[in-house]
Amino acid sequence: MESKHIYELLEKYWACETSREEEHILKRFFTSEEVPGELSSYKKWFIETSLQTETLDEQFDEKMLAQLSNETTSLSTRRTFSIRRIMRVAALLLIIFTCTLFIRHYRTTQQVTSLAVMEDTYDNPEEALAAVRNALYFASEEINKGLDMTAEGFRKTKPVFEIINTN
Amino acid sequence: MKKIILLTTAICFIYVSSAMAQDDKANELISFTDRFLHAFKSVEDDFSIVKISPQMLKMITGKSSPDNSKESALLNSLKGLYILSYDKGDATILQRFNQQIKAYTKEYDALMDIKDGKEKVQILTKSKNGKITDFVMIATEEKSFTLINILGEIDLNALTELQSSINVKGLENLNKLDTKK
Repeated sequence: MESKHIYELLEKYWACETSREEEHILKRFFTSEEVPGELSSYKKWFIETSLQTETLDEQFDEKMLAQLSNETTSLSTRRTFSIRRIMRVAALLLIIFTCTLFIRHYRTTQQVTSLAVMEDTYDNPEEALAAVRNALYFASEEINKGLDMTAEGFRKTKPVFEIINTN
Repeated sequence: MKKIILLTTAICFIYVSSAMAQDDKANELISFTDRFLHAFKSVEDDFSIVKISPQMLKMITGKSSPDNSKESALLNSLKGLYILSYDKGDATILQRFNQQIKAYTKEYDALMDIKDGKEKVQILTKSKNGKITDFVMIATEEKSFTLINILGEIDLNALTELQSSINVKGLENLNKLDTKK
């Protein structure tokens, strides 16, 4: 009778349908001394599994789910925190950059204002005209000098180009 | 909070872009010589500086010889003129001068580089809408330099033809100019 019950339990066991109580019965049966010969082949299995004392209790799933939920929450909080932090740093950098630019812009404006005021060296237009004439004629002379030198260069290299072109 | 950050960012961006554009415009307003003198403010007294304002140019246009139309036309188009010269021969100043010139010339187009004995002449121009609006001529010798900066719409052909109308020796006269600071 007991063997029949054990067979039934074994069938359930292999189908993973046994309760913890039924598993306990099976383990107790197979670890006892009186195991019938036809069931002795299972004895080793149950002795080995019964040595594995550490088992998952009924609260394992709940604990695990709770822990996972906590981790997800803290991860999302951390992510939100880091994005906020990056945004704050970026905003701060932008403000510093804008302030620097403002100071630079202010200084440039000041510089332009002071430099744009062009004070004349001469009060007398005759003297001013003489200075302007000198500058213009000097510039004209130098440009002509440059043009002459370029023309001279062309004149000197012309025969070389003619030889190259004939060949 | 998000709205405040977004609003601040938008305001900052608008300010940054407008300030940058204004700075570019401001840089255009400051002449080559002004910026140059600003860099040499501490030793400004060692330079001979001639500044001719647009108002003065208007006054002298009427005084130019009526028979020289090329000169009159050229004077009419000018908006300012600077002549700056240095002949103290301080090696440090000359070195700084060359460095400054190199830094500023990046914004200009090189028109000519003339080397005549110990004298080296560099002509730079800045154009706007295909017209020369800023003309810079830098003549350097071993221990001295002269800088001429002409502002306004400059007709290069008219400037070139000017020499043929009257023959005036340039640099010698420029160094002898009676300057007031």
